[in-house]
Amino acid sequence: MASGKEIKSRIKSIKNTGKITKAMELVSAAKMRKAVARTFEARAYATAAEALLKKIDGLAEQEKPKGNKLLLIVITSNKGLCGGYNTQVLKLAAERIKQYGRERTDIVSIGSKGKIALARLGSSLIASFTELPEMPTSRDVAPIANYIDKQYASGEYAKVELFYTHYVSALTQTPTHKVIVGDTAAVIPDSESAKHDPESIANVGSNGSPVLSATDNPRMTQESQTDYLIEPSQSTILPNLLRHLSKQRFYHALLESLASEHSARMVAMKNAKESAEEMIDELGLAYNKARQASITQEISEISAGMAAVS
Amino acid sequence: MSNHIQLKIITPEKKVFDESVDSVTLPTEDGEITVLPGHIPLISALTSGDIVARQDGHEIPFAVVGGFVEVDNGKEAGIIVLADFAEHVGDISDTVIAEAEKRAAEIRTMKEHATDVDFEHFEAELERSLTRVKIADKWRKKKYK
Repeated sequence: MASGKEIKSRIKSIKNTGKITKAMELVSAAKMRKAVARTFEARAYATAAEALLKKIDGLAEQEKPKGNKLLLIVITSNKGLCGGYNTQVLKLAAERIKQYGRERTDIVSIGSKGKIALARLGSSLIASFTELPEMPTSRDVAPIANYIDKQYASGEYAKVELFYTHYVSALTQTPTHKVIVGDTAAVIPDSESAKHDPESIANVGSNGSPVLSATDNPRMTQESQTDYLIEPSQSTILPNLLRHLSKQRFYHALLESLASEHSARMVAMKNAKESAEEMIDELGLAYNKARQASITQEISEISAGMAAVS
Repeated sequence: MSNHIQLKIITPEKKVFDESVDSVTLPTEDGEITVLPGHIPLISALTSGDIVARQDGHEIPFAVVGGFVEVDNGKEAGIIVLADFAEHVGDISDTVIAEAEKRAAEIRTMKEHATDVDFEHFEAELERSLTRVKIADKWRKKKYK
């Protein structure tokens, strides 16, 4: 059994850790509130943009991309200590890569945590962005969005898919995947398998949150097609509109991810704080027992000595 | 057919306006247009300027910079403005105007040494500052709600 002194020093170190995790919890809670407020404000735009995209999907006479590769964009955090946040979205991405084949996928990683893990997956990591500030604005997103546009324009990729974490509540965040550019119907075998595997491709909306699901079903869009008058002209406005909206979608996904990251971290730190408190309680008991045992032992030693002397 | 049309003005930051109105005047790239209830479906690009919504004889002005407008007469009939930036004119106070003017001057000097990406951004911001000042000036003497 550990001596009283040892236990005491352990209690002290756990108390310190507990204090740190508590402080981190408070910081994350404050950041989370800000990030969540921003995300909710931005959802109106994202939902409207999504609806508009669906409506004009059939109108845009896009050139069919020649390549058949898949570009994955994975959004993870820059910092650790946030529970399963990164692992979950990385798992989703890894499954997708397995489905599609390593040779046919390339990865763009956002956030330094994902960079290391994604590099291990075997697909080629063609770019990694880690310099995003805590509260990104659409200006910070511009270089990444431009890069993605350029990659898609090169014709090598059939589509670009975005992996991020959708914020549902402080306790629930769903890793989500959606196609941001590219013809959804271009790769039939694979979208079929996606439908058979609803687990891996989590569609949001089941929990009553705003539906921001991928435009996965081209047939649906055709039914709700309206004839739009487009000014000044279809060819000038549509490419611009598409580019603009996909940039906004990306920005929104980033906001969702940030809100998720902070709440995941807050919950992780809360758990850490609680288990530190629990450990302190247990060790306190152990310490008292050890103290009592040593007192009893001392008394019996003394009385034994007295008995020997008299 | 109802004589009102739902107008939504949404920016990436927040929902600026969502109410039923009589008509809306918008600055599109081809010139100013006015949308009345029953308008045919339309998608158009916006330039910077002011959106004026009319509601029961009152005028509600907004400063807007860039974006798109979608008019739909289907199930969810209405006008959706997806603006890069939009603000009710009443929210543009004198201090904001002064700041915007200062910012515009600052950006002009910064623009000279900026890289491509920054240049694009500065230009957008300059446009934003100037539009705010211009639209606020325009509506200063007029009555609005």
